[in-house]
Amino acid sequence: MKQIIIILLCFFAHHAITQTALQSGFLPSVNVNKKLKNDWKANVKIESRVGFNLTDMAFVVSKKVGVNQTLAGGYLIRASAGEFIQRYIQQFVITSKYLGFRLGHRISADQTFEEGENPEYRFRYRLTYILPLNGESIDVGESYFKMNNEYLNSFEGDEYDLEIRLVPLLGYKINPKNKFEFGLDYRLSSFLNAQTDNRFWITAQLYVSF
Amino acid sequence: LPFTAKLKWYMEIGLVDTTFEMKTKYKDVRYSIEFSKNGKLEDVEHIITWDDISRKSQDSICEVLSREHGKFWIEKIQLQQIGSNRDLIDELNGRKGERTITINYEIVLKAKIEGSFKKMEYLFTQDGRLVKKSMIVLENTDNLEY
Repeated sequence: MKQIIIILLCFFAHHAITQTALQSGFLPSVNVNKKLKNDWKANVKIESRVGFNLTDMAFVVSKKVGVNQTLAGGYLIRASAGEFIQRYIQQFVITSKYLGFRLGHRISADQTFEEGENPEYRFRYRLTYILPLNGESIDVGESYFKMNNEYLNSFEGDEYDLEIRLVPLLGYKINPKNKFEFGLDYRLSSFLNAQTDNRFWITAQLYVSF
Repeated sequence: LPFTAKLKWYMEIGLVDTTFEMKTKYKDVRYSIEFSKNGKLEDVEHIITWDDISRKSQDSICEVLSREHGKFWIEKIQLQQIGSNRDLIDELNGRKGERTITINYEIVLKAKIEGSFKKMEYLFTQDGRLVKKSMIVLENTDNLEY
């Protein structure tokens, strides 16, 4: 595990040094989930980009369509200095448990609308890997390693872009309802058509369910 | 014991008791061996397929499960062996001789119960009689979805 973290840190450091367009900061989020009847669930996520005066608030409703499959749809608003963005979200998630780790596959689409701009349509795939650091499953008071790897295809007017995200995190299960995750969120985009855009965040996320 | 692959040890803290479980692979089959807190060998389980169960037991198990759930999806079947330490060790080592070992089938399945998808664990005797059933608490997957 230590080796994986060191390799990832070296990878990020190398990119931060060799690329010119670099943005970085702190990205905290709170993710609140409420279980409803008949496998319905409501999710509210608030995420801020500290130092950039930008806050996202998303509301998503999901329905289990199998023990390990979930279909969801939602709406996001982004408030930042002088702009207001709306986004519609649709997603399908498959989770699977293996001996000693879990995987999550998320296929999603979103449509973003902003005044004076072309609508942006994105098609995304995210693979999530969770490895308990003690035993086979994550119990209260135990830590875990989590890695997100996401590919975002973006279409805006005549333009196409691919963004790749790599998010290694260390998580901790505080109690049966709450989890805390802390780590890095690296986003690489514009490398197909223009100068590569690197965004490198320190992220902290709290999951609350009730 | 004949195992040569890596042994993984887990402690299971239940509401009533604490047990130790050792998991490994032997001849491409996943084995799980459970011990009591004071080291007594409780049972030996290994993964099997539906076809490893006799036709008569299959029919009996199907009848019970269909009555309980209508539609269901089997996720995992384990053959459970219970007996004395000596008999279980001899069985694992493939030694010849008489021994008294009770065989059960542990079945994990998915089903829709009262409008929600659930996971259940069933224990059947070798001839397909229901011994017990319990609901598996599903892990929260919020941090895999969002």
